[in-house]
Amino acid sequence: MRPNLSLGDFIAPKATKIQDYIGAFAVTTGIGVSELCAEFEAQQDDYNSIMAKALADRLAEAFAERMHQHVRTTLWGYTVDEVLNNEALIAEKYCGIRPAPGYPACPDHNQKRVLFDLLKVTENTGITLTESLAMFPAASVSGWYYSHPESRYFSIGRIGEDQVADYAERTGMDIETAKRWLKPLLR
Amino acid sequence: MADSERITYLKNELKQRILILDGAMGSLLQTYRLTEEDFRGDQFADHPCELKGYNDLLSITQPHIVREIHANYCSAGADIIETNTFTSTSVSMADYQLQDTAYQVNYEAACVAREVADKWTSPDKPRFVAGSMGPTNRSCSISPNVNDPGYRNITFSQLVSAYTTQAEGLIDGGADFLLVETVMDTLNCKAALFAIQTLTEARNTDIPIIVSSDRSGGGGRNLSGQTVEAFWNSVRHANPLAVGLNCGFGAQQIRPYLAELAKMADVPIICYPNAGLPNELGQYTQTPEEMGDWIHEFAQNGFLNIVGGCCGCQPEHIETMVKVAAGYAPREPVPQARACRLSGLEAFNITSDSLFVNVGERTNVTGSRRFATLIKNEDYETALEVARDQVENGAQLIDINMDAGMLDAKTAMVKFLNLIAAEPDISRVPIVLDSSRWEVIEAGLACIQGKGIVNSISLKEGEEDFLEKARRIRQYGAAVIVMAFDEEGQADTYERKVEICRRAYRLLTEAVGFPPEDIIFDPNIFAVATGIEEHNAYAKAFIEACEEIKATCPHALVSGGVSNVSFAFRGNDTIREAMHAAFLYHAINAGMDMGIVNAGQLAVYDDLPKSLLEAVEDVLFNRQEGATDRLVNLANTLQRKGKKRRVSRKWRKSPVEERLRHALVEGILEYIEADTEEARQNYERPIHVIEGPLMDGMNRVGELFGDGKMFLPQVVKSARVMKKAVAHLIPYIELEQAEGGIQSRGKIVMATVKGDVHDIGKNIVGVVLGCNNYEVIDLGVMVPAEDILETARKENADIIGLSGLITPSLDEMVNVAEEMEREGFQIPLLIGGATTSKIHTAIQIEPAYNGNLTVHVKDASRSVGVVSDLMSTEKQEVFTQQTREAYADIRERRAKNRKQANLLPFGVAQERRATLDWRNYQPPTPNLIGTEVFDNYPLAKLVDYIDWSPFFTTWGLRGKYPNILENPEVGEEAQKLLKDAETLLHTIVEEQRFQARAVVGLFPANGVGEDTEIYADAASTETPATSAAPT
Repeated sequence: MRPNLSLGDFIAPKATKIQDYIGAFAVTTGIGVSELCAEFEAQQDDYNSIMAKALADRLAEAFAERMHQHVRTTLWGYTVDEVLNNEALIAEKYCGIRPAPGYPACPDHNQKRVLFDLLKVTENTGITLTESLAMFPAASVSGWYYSHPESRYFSIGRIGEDQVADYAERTGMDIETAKRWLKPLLR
Repeated sequence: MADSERITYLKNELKQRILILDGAMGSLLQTYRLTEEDFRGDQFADHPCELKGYNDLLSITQPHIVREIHANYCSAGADIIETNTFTSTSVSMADYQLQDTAYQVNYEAACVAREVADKWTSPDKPRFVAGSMGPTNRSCSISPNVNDPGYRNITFSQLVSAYTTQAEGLIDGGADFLLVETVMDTLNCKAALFAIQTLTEARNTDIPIIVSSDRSGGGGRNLSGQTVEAFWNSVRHANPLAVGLNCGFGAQQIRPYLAELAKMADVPIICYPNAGLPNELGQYTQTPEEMGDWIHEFAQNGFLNIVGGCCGCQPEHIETMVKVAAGYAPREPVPQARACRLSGLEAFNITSDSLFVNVGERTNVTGSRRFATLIKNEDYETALEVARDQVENGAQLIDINMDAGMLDAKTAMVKFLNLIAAEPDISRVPIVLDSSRWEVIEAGLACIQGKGIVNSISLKEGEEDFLEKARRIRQYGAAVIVMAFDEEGQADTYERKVEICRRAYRLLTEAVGFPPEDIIFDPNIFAVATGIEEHNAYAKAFIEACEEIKATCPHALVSGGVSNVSFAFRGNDTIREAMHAAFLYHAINAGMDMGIVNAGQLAVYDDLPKSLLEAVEDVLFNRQEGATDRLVNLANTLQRKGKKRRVSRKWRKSPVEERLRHALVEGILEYIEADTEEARQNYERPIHVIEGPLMDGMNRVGELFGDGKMFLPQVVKSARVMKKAVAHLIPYIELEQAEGGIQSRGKIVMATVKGDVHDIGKNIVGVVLGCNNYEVIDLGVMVPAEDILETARKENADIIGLSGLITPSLDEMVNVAEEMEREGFQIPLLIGGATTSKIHTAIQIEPAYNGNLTVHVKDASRSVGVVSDLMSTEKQEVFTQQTREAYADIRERRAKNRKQANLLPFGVAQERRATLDWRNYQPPTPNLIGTEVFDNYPLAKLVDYIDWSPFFTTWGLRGKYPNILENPEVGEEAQKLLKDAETLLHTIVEEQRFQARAVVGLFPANGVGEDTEIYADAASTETPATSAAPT
């Protein structure tokens, strides 16, 4: 039977008394994008304006990839001798994952607040959160690092009222707020 | 009466009067209130699981009760009683761990029914036993898992095996005919028909079959989605004694579909509805009189040959029917003209009046490099798009071929067909199974519920092999393409083509009984003008053979792959297109019915220049010495011209209007200001330059884009040229103080909603719409609802468009819709962006706003179509209505599914967590505890880490990098786009236009349930972080 996954499964339970670790990151390559786009738009050049934004997005993802590699091989250092080309990196051939709040394995965008507080993201990088918890500038990526060899991406999928109630209780949100944020999972 | 006499009698009786079938069995058994012990009887006293509720077992354990019910129906006047075996296949019986007793249950049930029928038989009223074969509890065409539409929990061959055992038991026990009933999935039904036919052939007997379908799939379709006619086309190969409808509905609801069937069935019709619709308690309450009134009406209209009742019908209902039916003559079957009657979810009939049938050929790995790459990379989603595009672009059949060296053709065929089955837009058309390997063909036949075509078989391996395959194809109920190929080889001359086709025709119709209208000949179209003398006669041979085959093989069809003929001129599209047009023109006149034609590679016959047409026809008809040389020479000049055009600056010499148009279509910026200035001096007023040549050019761009001949990046580049030109003219227009700009086709206010910052997709949509002469007011990102609505009101906008990427934006869009409703807006609302969907729009947004239509726009390429439909006075109403209906349908289906879907209780899901082996695992200790900040990280170091594939998706070009650069369709454009991207990227990196900043952190942490506690250092404060647990 396939287990019902939670990201929590990939961290050693407190009861095991084993000291485990978690990582987090926030990267941006979006500083300067709106200025460049404004220049292009002033020359009626929508083509390059869109191109610049698309490239900024790609660079942000590339930055996230590069940082993850740096963490695996150096800062966390659990795969010191990892040698992977870009193709292998894109195919996620490495050990560990970097799930992002708001995406299928941890769908609640609110967890970005936890992450932003933990890393002092705004102070350190200039990335801010909108009221819907989108990151600004748009070319930004944030997420968690898990190192366990069995950690993998999955999708929470649809959830029931009981799970929302439990989640609300654990995060200290009132139930209506929790429902609002988790609405796409409740459908 | 002996068995054969009874059948003859039955067939005669069907012509004389309306026969009566019995009513429900299950509903009556329930009234006996039997206990678990009663169900078990002696034989199953020690059975390991509960048996109560498995009614079919009662034929063995309580035969006297089943006998009594049969007798009650006989007493009510039923001519036919049904065996108590609706769920007696090993597949359904597995629920009760009874799969091994399938034969016995069927045999005993048939014996019980036989016994009663014989007892009630009198010389003037024999009673018949129908062996009931139900649909089983599994579906061969539908995935039980919504997330995996290609998955199946039962295969065709498993069903064949289960139905074979059932049919054996029923026949051995004395059933007069087999009733394959309540057909929900036509593929399941075809498995039953296949099983019965194989069985009777092996036993060298013959037993009549009656087929009856359920219509509970909505809109008059069965559960697997087929219309009445599609269903009938799919099963008529079994030559049933009667066909009909039962269950699912009461008589009132069944009526329209019964009337439809009555128009097209050339065999008797059976109908046995439920006693009305069930009430909230699931009970059927229609009285015998009420039901009788409907039967009265059916009989009066001549719909009936056999009538009876399904769920909820009791002996009293049957008694009423006997009385009602006695007053009417039976229906006379309507003879149908011979025609190749195919089906997907919908019927497709090729009659003598049909125009040329176009077979889609892009889902063929041997013909399309793009499709081959998609299948090889298992990008089935995009592969499905290829199929969908073909159907949308008018392919009436789709040819699917997976024969490539690198592929497991059989697996790929099955997978693709199963996925197609879940896509009604594609599976509505019949499928042509194309393979040179029989096992691939047969695997494909076991996946299609409709009546498709096998492509192909031939006499290459001799008669025996040919006939064997033909019989098999007939059993699966498909039509067949026969290649003109025999033991000697492929037919290349007129004589050989005709000879082989006639021989195949004779064999198929006489030895197999293959209906001639289901035979399609492919007399081989070969390349002409190859430089080899004997090839010159190939086209003529085909066209003439076509005429002769049609004349001497009545009802058979002729097909062929047209593009072969011009193979010698690869790379010269002008010649190829002309050859295809001329060849088709003559072949169709000679009787060619269908073929594989790339519509994009086809000129219009009447539009061909005379000299070219003459040269082409000389070659096709091999009518002049040296015709080939002349066409080759012509090809060379055309080719050179074509090439020259591409590299030369010749377009600079054309009139200024031409130049502007060329620059717009090709997206060339270089001369645009000079050309615009020149035009301005030629025209009376600057505005006329925009209204004239510039708009002409942009309209052309819009057309090309609409036809799929230009891609998004090109359109955006064209728009850039347009903007430059307009910007040059604006000061002059202002100087003139002329009023306003030119008349736009409509005004659209667009915004990325509050809280969201993503706008690339929205910007592309804006440019594309602008290109099509809509005025776009783009409010940018993070725009509150009130600003959007205020602008829309102030600008008197025709449409509002909302965009967003993150999930909370979905809610904000609902909010905007609600505000529009509250403020009484009456203009359409468009929804787009990565997380938006048709489903979400239908369920959440559309119901919130009644002022006008709310519609989801999937991507930029669809935006123009949607907006132009909404702005068109003719199309607007139909489009709105269709979209509304489609969305209502989604909501309805959703409501239904929701009831069915079971979520595990959260507590159970928590228990079923992934338990990792912590005892044998030591988590790695980080070298860093705490955070590290990276300020101004060098961009140059990131370039090599770029994943380019999503970049192409952003620009509407589908495919994985780097393969996309070689893609035959979009490869060229992808290369140009990448080049432009690299140029800009170089500037950004060199001039450090963007700043890269990051912070990463590593912390001690432990899990508590779904929570993770994060500690600032080895023993410090707790911050529960990520949670949201599993389902």
